[in-house]
Amino acid sequence: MTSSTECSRLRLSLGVYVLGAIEPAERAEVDAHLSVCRRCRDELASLAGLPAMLGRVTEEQLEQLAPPPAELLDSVLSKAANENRARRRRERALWIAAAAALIVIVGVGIRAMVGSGGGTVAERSPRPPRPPATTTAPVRTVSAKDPATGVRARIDLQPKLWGTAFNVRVSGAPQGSHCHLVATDKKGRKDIAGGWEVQYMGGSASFAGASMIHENDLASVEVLTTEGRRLVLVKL
Amino acid sequence: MGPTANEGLLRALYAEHGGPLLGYVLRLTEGDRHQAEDVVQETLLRAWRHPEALDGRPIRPWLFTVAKNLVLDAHRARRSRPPETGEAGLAAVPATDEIGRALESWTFAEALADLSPEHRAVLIETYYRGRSVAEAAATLGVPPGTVKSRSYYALRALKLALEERGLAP
Repeated sequence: MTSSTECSRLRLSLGVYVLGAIEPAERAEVDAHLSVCRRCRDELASLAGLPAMLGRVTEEQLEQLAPPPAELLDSVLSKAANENRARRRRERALWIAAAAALIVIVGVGIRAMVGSGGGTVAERSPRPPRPPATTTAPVRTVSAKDPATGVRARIDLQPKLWGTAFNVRVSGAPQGSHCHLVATDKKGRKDIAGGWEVQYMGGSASFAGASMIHENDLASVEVLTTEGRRLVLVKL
Repeated sequence: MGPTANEGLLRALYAEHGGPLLGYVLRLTEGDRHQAEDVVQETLLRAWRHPEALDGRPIRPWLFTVAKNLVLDAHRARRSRPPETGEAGLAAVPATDEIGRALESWTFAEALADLSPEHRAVLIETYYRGRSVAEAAATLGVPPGTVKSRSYYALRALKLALEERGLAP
């Protein structure tokens, strides 16, 4: 037999019972009560899984829940601020490079008009070099040698989502030439593909470029001096 | 969108996840606090650099995964050669559900942290420190009957807190 006051008193002991903190004499009393009280057995069952969950947490974790010392946050924030500053500097440098390229090209255009007049470099638009793309795609290699200038170019073309990446190796150009790369698409549109200020110092020189023209729209790629003189034309 | 001067994101991540993240990494680095803090910094910076990576997915699993990979990378870099199949080095790689169990354990910890200080204290004394009712009563300065009832109500409150987090025992 079990009275309701005994039931409520012993039910409160179910906490320390499942936690294993109950005194042995009381444990025997609770055990005896459980054998005759279904409601307390149900209550015990609903609490019985909790100590296992407590076992998955260490006391140390409870202390570690609070955010770590502010110094660590300060350090993260100052690194983030440094990265922001560096990024803004890079962006500024790109604008300056683009402006410089524009000046070079305007100069080339004027010289081309004043000079031989046979230039084919009228429609170029300045564009800063693009960062190297991360995706890899099959590379196609084309090469040619200009019989007149004796300049040889070997160009690796890599299709990209935004156009084409170039890796160019030039040999046989006059020492000190400032070379750049111009890509032409099938409709005759030209696109400066970068490398406009590479100084050729003999032997074999290589530089990277990039164009918005997609690889399958490319008609030719040529290496020009910044004076607009064609060193070699590679047809595709 | 690239990284911006979004200090707010870093502060919020730090406040909400900084503690569990550092605690988790400290275990992975076997208590090397210096390395653990470096890993936490780099993990938070990666979240800040790529906020789009956090879009529409729970943040903490992402943070734990990135942190674990950083610890593993550092571990592999310290070894002169990469681990080969069957080598003892593989034992150092936590099982794939290790992150899941760690995340769950931090959720339990947070449920415990939600309890009132009195409820938490009585569970710490009885469960974590293995004290009997009489010992806990002496330590906490309350009658034994209070230890019993508080333990009972603390467990009921914990059960509710776990259910709120979708973790019914």
